[in-house]
Amino acid sequence: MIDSGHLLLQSVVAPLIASPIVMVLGRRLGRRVGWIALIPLAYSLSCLLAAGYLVHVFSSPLQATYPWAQLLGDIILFFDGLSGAVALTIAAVGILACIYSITYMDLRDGWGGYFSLYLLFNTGMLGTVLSVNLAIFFLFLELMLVSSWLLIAVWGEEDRWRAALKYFLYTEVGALAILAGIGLTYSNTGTLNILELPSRAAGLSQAILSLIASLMILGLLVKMAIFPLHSWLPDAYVQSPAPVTAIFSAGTGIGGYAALRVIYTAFPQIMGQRDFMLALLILALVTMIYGGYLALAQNRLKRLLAYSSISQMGYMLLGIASASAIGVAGAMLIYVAHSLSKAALFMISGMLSRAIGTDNLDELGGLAGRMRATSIALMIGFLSLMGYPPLLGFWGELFIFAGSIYTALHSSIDMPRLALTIIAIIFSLITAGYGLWAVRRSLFGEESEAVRRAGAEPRLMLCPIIASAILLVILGVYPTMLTSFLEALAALFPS
Amino acid sequence: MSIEPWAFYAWACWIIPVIGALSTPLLNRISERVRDLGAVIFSLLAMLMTLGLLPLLFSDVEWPLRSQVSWVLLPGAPILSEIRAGMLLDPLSIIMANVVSVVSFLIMVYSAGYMRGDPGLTRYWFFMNFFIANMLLLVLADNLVLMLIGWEGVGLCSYALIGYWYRDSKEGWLHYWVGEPPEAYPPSHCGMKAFIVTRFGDLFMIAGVLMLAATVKTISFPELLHADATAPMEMRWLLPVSLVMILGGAVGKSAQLPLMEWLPDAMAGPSSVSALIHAATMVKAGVYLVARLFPIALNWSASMPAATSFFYAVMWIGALTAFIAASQAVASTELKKVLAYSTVSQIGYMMMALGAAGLSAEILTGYVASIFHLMNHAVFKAALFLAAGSIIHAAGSRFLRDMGGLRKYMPVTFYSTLLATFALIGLPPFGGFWSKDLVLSATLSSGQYAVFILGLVTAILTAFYSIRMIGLAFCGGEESRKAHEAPRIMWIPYLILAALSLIIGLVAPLLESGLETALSRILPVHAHPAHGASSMELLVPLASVIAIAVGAVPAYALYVRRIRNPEEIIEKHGYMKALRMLLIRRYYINAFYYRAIAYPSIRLSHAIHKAFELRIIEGINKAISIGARRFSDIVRRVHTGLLNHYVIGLILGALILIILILAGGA
Repeated sequence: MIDSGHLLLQSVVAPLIASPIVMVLGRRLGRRVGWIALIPLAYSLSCLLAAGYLVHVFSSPLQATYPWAQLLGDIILFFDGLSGAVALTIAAVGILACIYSITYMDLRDGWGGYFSLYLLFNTGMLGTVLSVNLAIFFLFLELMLVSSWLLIAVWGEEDRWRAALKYFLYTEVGALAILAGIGLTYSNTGTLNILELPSRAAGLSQAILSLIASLMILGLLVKMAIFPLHSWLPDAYVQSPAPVTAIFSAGTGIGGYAALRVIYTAFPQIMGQRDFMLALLILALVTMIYGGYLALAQNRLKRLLAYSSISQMGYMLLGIASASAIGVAGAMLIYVAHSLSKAALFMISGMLSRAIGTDNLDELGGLAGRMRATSIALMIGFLSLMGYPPLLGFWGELFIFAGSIYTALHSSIDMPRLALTIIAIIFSLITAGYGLWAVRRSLFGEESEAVRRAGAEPRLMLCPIIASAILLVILGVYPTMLTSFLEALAALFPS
Repeated sequence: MSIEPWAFYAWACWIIPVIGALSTPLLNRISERVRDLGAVIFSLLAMLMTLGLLPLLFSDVEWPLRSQVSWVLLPGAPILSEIRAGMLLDPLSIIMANVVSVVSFLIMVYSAGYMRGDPGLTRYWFFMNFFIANMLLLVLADNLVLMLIGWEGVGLCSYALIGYWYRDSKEGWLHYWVGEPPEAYPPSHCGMKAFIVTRFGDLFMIAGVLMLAATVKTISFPELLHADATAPMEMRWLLPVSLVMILGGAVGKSAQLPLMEWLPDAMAGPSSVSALIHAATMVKAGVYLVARLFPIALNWSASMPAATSFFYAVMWIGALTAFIAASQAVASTELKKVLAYSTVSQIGYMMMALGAAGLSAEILTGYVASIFHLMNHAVFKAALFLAAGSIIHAAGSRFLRDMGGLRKYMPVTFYSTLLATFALIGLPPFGGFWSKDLVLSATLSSGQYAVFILGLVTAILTAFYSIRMIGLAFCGGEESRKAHEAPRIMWIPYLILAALSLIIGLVAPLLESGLETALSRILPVHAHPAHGASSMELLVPLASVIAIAVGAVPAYALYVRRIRNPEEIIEKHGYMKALRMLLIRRYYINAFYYRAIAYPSIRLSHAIHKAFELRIIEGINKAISIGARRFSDIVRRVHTGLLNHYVIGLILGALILIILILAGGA
């Protein structure tokens, strides 16, 4: 075992500890308390980077165990190629959106409350991703849910209460399904440790296994906003303040990450159940297309991006449903790419709302000549969503499709899967459709009245936007930085 | 670590323009002159690097030469576990790379004059150099995924440069809009259209590549050559299917039927962009891809007759496109659009030759024909587009009807255009004559007579629209205008290209046999082309010269000599008017795409939003919330406020819980 010096624990706990401090300091410091909030986030990120370095050097996953309740098992934090990439993404986006918040959030007071909840939200996300004890996982999931609910309900746009309530109820029902799955798992296997489950669950009957998997996946599909369980997402995204939406898109993908863990780490037997995986694939396909079409119908950039997130979660689910190591890698890359590009895009939409007064595409136009850096970032964000090289989204899409096609042609030809995958590939054109159309309506053409009156881009809001775009390019040019740590996971798959 | 010189050249020739693109904004900080100069110098360096590869063609190395580095790792993955970045050098890639880089450099020089003073030049140079880099990457890539990256990269540059004048302002109507109402589009629309249509083809290509990767477990070109044996028997039929799907990418990029509609509208970009991307290089990527897959498909067809379907598809798509696009050029009212249709049509020739080659015993004739024609076309069409840039600038309009009589004002442009047009028509001894001759004889020797006839008819149409274009632009027009010759920095490049199209023609027999020896080394057959019966050899050039005469003479009479007004002839006959309308409206294919696909998609999206998302999904949400309220009204009655009721409830609940846990534990 590598001595990780409690790196993982520190990364999760740092924002948690800082949260009340920020709350108290908020009174006195006002807006500037955001810089204080940045410290624990940066600390988290550096811990995670150090952990990533250790994983790289020793080429083995990190695991840290802390005794907890006798009944429910220990707190175990686990950092491998999969959870590591996801956690690092969350930490990075968390920092960027925090910097953005400092200028974006225009509050008379309540700075302390905002940033302390923001930190709790980050702790919740990191904890969810790094925990392999299902009970702890669930606790962090609830922390994430409650803190984000409050962030929307208090600091959101006009219709925030309704949206927040809808979000809360939906995800809470999803969480209950997950809880039921966790309860059943515990009562049938006697453990909550995901890493122990494959050996403990080997003897389970097919019926119980299917029930557990269905409950958990159902709950996670709600979290991911997969059709037809998606309707909380557009409202929640649109009503959230822009930085929260930015980090939210990383949070939504956690459902997908957890689904990967459930299927591939906890109960790998599910992989062999063709019909179950095919059902997921169909859901993925429908979500991709449905979200894409609805994005095409939107005028408001923020709402367009929200529907685009639904569609992208469909892509991720396609990778999850691929039952192959390549597809899993693809789903992970889609997660990272989607989080980064949506972070950039949502921050841009928020910036436009502030600098121009609207992010309605019909009232924009001709931005390319006025806000050059923003325009380039917007372009990069959408191109990555489209799966365009050399951006990270390209590799994500390539690998999810490759994974699914590989499974379709693995031992014999699985015609339905092959056909559905090809349909998915062709229909990914919709992303190019809504993306380029949004780009055209906002960046090109004559400058609209609103754009002409616009002020300059606030630099502090621009920096995180550009940083996410640059990350998309760097990771896209050399994705091996993310993909080379997946070896342990690949061992699960029959070759 | 020592590196072979050829490997250095191969990597450098596309990395240098990447650096060039990235340094453009930095050089702009110094001064605009430095930036412009720098951009041109980077493309010059790229050209020198590819020229450095040429000597390899005359050495007797073992083809292909490969230089690879590890790039994307997916440890443990069953396929694509390691995607390498690799350069593949063989005669095909070397020849193609040189065509690209030489033409690119000349066009970059032209751009320095043509685009002078434009406010967005940093963006322009960035995308031009980035384009050159991606194009060379595409050409030199040794596996399908790396090629795909260059492939998408050129698509992005094409999008950005078509929509270069993104303001779409009405003042630009005469310069950079495209088409006439109801099919008139502003630049940003055209860029988007080009992107989406080509992307549609690319997605088929991606699907095809992944299917190949899954069945034969490799994506590298040299390994694919004999990969059919590694595929399990019951999956063999998927191989030709994947090839045809990959062809989808080629059809999109090379603007072949049914995905040709984006290219005519791509003329909204600056003329230099049209010359570089939409005539000389990017649109040839599809031909190049087919040429690259050609030996693979040929090898596979030995064990799998179904693989010949690939060649049939290539040939028929090419032949039909050649004819249909040429006919549209006949009626076009815009100078650059004539050239665009002509490009589509000529690429059709190249495809046709490749397809016929695969179906013929004399493989080499068609293969060489296609590559030779590609070279020729790159040279003369680039010259034509560059000259068109000057012409449009001088005339102040993109419409042929606003031109006329420019001959005496811009003699250099006129003669350059004339030379290049002769090459396009295929007049002996211009380059185009020889390659078109080879294309036609390839179709004939493969026994595809219908295709041969289509090719011949296309030749007639080509002669007609070319002379019509010359006549409308340069002849007639008595009124004096303010037009003047283009500056030297602009006309030198196209004069060179036009002269080159003649010089190529003069040394064509030599070049042809050189290409034959070079290309025969990458094809699975090494036999020298058995020159067929001499009657055949004479028949084809004779037929093609007659075709030129049939097309050119009436055009000369009507548009150069102007013995009668063609408008009057058309007005007199109803069917002529209908035909013209049909051609101007592009056989209504374009309209069909808008009416049957583009607009309905948007309408559908709104319909789904209104009818399904807002009504049904939100309706269910509301129903649940109302239901919940009703339920809570009922439940509220249980809240009696009496302690013993609650205690009973508590005990019942606990009992249920215990039973559940016991049942689970058992």
